[in-house]
Amino acid sequence: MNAHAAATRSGRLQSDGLHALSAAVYWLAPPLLCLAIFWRGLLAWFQGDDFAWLALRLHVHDWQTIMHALFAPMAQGSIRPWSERGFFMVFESLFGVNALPFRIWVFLTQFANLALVAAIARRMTGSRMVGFWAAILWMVHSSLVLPMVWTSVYNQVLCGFFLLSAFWFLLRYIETGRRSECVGQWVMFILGFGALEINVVYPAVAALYTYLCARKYFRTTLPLVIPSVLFVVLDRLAVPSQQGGLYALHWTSAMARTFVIYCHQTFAPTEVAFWIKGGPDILLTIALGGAIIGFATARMHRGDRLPLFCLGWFAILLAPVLPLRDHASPYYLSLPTIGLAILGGYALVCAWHGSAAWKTVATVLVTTYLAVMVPVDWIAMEWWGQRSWAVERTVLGAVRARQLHPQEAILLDGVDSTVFWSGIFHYPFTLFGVSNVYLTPQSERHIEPRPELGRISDYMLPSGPTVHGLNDNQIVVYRVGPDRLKAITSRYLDTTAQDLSLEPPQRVDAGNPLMAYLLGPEWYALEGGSRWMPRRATLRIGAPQSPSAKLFLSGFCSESQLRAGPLPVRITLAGTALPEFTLNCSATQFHAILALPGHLIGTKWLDLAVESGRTFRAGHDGRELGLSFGTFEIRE
Amino acid sequence: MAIERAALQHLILIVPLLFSASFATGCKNGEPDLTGRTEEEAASPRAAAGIQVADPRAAPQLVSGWWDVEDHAWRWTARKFAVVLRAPIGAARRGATLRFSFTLPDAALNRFKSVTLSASVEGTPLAPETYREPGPKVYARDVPSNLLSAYSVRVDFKLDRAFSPGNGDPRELGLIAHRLGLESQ
Repeated sequence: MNAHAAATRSGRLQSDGLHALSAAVYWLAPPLLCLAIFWRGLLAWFQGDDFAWLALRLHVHDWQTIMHALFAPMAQGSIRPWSERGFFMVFESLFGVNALPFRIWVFLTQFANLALVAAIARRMTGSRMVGFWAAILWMVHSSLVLPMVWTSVYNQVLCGFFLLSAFWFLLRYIETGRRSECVGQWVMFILGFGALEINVVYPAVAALYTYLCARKYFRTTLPLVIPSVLFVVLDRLAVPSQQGGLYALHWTSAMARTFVIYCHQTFAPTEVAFWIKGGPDILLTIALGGAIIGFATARMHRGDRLPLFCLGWFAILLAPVLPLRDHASPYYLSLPTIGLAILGGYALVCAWHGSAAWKTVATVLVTTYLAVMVPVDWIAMEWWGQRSWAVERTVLGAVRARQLHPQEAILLDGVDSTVFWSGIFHYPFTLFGVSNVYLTPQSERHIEPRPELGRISDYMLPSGPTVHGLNDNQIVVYRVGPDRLKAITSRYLDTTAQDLSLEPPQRVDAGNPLMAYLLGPEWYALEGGSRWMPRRATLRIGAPQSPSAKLFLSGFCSESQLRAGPLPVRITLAGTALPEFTLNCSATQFHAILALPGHLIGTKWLDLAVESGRTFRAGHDGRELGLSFGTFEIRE
Repeated sequence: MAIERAALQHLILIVPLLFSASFATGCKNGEPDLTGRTEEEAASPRAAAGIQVADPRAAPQLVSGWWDVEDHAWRWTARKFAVVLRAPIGAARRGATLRFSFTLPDAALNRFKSVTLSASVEGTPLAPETYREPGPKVYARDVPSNLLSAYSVRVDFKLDRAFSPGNGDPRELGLIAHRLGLESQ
């Protein structure tokens, strides 16, 4: 008897051990595989839009500015307090400008998503293996590359978390009928609005599932529409539709074309997988897409409506981005493909229970899918990772250069398109309290222009000030290299600088000490990033090169000065007076654009005089103050 | 419910691991150590072509005839004073302009009616200039390229007169110097 009990106990222990091992593999395999494939994303640095979110901290001083930073529409009018503003502000306040904690948090959220996908698929199909394969098939999809490497795209990951959590609560509500599960669904759904606008479609997902698979609960999902409608109305009121540009909405037949493009990209990510372009990609789309559709059709004939729901998930989650005709991005597929991954896992497990032929077909298709997606993930992660590390080398190198040269301006030479548009364009140096970092003259020759984003010249120090700064040892020059920034001031002085033009630039920044040599003796000393003048001051500026060129002015005038009425300002260029303009009481920061007479074209430079109609004296400051500038720029 | 419990149990293994790594590597601890982020030039500090005479970095270029910095902004010169300047960019081809910004003090002109400033570059004299009014002045002279072929040049200045402030101050004072330099042409 005792021997029998011991044997039974031993058998139970063995069985428990196996069960624990199997559970460990089941839940840990997807996150560990995720780490194995996307590990570069864990080590990636900041890039692109990340710097705009990191810079929010600089504008937060009190509750009012916190609320503005969290909820004011920004970046195409989006309001994403949890996934962008709040996420960046909290993590930056805890960890500073250190990317690793941000990346770890993104990975943790994604691990939770993988567990939710597995749990949801398991609940919907009753099969543990469907859950496992659904998580794996979704995790390797190429649309997840960007969310896994670029912190600004955390909105996709977090929105996925809220959507999946809400849906998971719905499934539990259907299973248990407990009110608390329904409340959980509502809470996660409402929170999802703070992650990404795509959250508005959740009621459609919930309604479709209950209509197809749990009709009794269909009516309980209808009130979910109310928050979505309110969100859309409020969002449209706060943010008018974009009339042009990449983010303009096109409610036209182009949506069908966009849908087809996304369907193709779902199975054949040709943006990276160039080796399948021109034929194999179409075959792949037909084979994988056909298999999915075929499986869904066969199941529906047997009265199984779950495949229809999975296809519906794909279409519903994709629908909000279809009007973005000119901005079809692979990462927009990251949430829709959850539906297809569940369907794929379902098909795989069903096939595995079928004949040898079905097993073979399923194995070939899944292997093909993995053989395309995993290399694509690998290559794309390498590219995005390298891009972020190139930005890191440049930015932290410039910060180090500032530590070593606290008084000199820093010139960066050899900056390419990648580092410029994903780093320097966002001027990340301010995050470290560093200013006076410029590109060397003629840097635009190595950077692809993107006028829709901005002007490269705004980031360059013109030749004349560069020569003056180098002569006075006010500049250090660093070359952007593959490993780190390399100081090349002496070499630059002896070579490239010898051929630089001394002509005055067409943009004179009165607040830049390197351009002080262009200012007349009337100007007062530099104060922050600007400079006051008395009633009249002069400067030298590069002449216009075309008849359409205009003079752009930006500066500041005192509020007390404007109380006496509109303030007239007169500009004289090479002795020719331009039409007088006035500043009124609504703006202390002013911008003015003045047309230029044609005869000024052709000369190399012009003497400019600016005269303020009134002056004032502030407190104990005995100086006569006119206006504070600012920049003077001649351009088209 | 067992399925979610199992998921939690296993994910909990990863979460603390990643979090401790996060805090260990990420916590704010003052300035980040950026040593090694740049590769610096081995060369010794360069002389400048143009200097603010009160700038401490310019002190090694002030060869002789300079008194201490006053008000963080200027220096008195003696009657004779000299400076070493780097030849500016393009000077070996196009020459340069020597520009010296200074203030002629009332104290000097009260005594002498006029003061004449002369300069020489590497021993080659430039045209002198005589000043009869006090106040801010600029002495500017073109310097031919043949005098600027070397990496740096010595510029000697000389005043025809200097004065002593008295009151126990033994210094011989000439001008109040602000900035001087060779500028590219």
